[in-house]
Amino acid sequence: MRSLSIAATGMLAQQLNVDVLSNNIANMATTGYKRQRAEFQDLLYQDLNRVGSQSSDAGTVVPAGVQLGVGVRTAAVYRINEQGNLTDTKNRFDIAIQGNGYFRVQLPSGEDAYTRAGSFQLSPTGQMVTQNGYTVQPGITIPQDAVSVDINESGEVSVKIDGQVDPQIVGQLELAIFFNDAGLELVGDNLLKETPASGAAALSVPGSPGYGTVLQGFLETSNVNAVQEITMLIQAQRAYEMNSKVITTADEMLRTTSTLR
Amino acid sequence: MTENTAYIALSQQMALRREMELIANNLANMNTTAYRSKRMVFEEVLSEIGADQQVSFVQDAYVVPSLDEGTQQRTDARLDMAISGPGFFVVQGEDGPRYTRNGHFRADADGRLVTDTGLPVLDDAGAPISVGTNPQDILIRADGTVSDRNGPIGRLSLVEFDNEYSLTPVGNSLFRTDDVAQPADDARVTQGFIEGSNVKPVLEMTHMTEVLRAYQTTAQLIESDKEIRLRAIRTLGASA
Repeated sequence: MRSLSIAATGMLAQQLNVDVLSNNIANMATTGYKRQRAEFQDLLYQDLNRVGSQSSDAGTVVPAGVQLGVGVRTAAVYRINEQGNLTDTKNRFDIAIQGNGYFRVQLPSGEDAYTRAGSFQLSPTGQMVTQNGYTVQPGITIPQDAVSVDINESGEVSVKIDGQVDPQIVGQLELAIFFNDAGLELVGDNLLKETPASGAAALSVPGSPGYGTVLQGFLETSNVNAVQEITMLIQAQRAYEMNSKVITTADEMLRTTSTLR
Repeated sequence: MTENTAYIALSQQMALRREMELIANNLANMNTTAYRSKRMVFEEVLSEIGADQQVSFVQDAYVVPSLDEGTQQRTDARLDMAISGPGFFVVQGEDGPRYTRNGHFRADADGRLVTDTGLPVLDDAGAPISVGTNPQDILIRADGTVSDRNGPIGRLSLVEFDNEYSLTPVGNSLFRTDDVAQPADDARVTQGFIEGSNVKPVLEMTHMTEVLRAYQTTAQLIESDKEIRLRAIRTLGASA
C-alpha cells in the first residue's frame, strides 16, 4: 500500500520542519542570526494512465489521465537574509551592518569566513578579533595608548591618541557581497563560508554602491519573528498528526482486507 | 451470476486504494509550496453478462487538480514571489519550458535568477534574467517587472493556458505541457510572499474517513456474498 510510504514522507518532512523552526526559536537572541525556512516540493509522479494517450481508434485522447504522486521531499532549507533589528550596545567594538554585506574573518586554518555578527574584541596585540579570537580582515591594530576609537559609516577606523590633536586613521573595514548569499555554507559560531553556489566574494568598502554601511555601537539582532515561528510550529505539528492518521487509516484498510475469510 | 459480486467489489476496492494514495499524497504535501490538491474521478465500466443484463464495475478515470489558489505566506525573502490570479512562471527545463507557480527563486553563482533546482527563470523574451550581485536590491512589481537601483532589468514571463488541466505535474512543483502558452494579463506578482499548498486538511480528513468506511462496507459485501453462497451449498446439498 503506497499510502503508508507516502504518509511516511509527509511525517519526515514535518519532522524536519519542526527541527528548522526549533533552531530558529533557539537562536532568537543570537547576534546576526538569519532565520531559516524549509521549502518542500512534491515528489515524482507515477503515470497509471498517461495524459494524452489514445482513448479510441478515432484519435481521441485522455485529457487528464491518472497520475499518482509518491509524497513530498525537502527541496531546501534556506536562510532569509532580511535585515535584523539594531540594538544599541554603546560598545565601541560592536559594529552592525545596515544593508548588504558580510565582515571577512580569517579562521585559524587560514581560510576566510564571513559573518554579520559584528561583536568584536581586541586581541592581546591590539588586533580586532571576533568573539572566538579570529582576526577581522583586513587586519586592524588599535594602538595601546588610544583613548577613543571611532568607526564611521564607510568603515574607516580612526583613533585618538593622548597628546595628539588630529585623530589617526589605523585601518579600513571591508565588506564582502555575493551573488547568492543563500548559497553560503553555515559553519556555526555565526560564521559562513564561501561555496561554489554562493559565487566568489566581492570586496569593497562599506557604503559603495550595492554595499551596506556600518554602524558603531550597535549590534544586529536575529531576524526571527516569534509569532511567525510559533504559528508555523502549530501548523507543522497538526500536519504531522494528520499524516500519522493516514498511516492508521491505511493500516485499517489493510486489516479489513486481511480479515476477509 | 453471483460470481460477479466479488469482482465488482474488488474493482471498487482497487479504486478506493488508489484514492487513499491520492489523499495520502495531498496530506503529505500540506506544506508544499504551490502544491495543488488532487481528486480522483471515477467512471463506470459496463459489462454484458447476458441478454439485457449489465453489471457495472468502477474504474479510476482521471486525477483532477484543484485550481484554487493556495494562501500566500509571507517569507520576506527578496527573491520569493507569489502569483495571484491565473498564471505561471516559465523556467527553462532540460528539454523545453516548464511551468510553475512556486516562486521560491534564488540567484545562482553567475547572478541568474533560478529555481531551487537551478533551472533559469525566463523573461518575456525567453531569456534568463540576471539579478546581478545584489539580490537585496531587487524590486519586483505586480506586473512582473524586475528592477534594481539602476532601473528595470527585465520582465518575468507570466503565462496561462486555455485548459489548465492539460498541465502534467513532473515533480518539484513543475508542470509540462504541449499546449501553447498565452501571456497572463491578470496575473499579479507579490514579492516576499510564496503561495502555500491549497490542500484543505479538513476536507482531506473527512474524505479519508469516507474512503475507509466505503472500503469496509465493500469488504462486508464480499463477506455477505460468501455467506450466501455457503448457505446455498449447505441448503441445496442437504436436500439432495
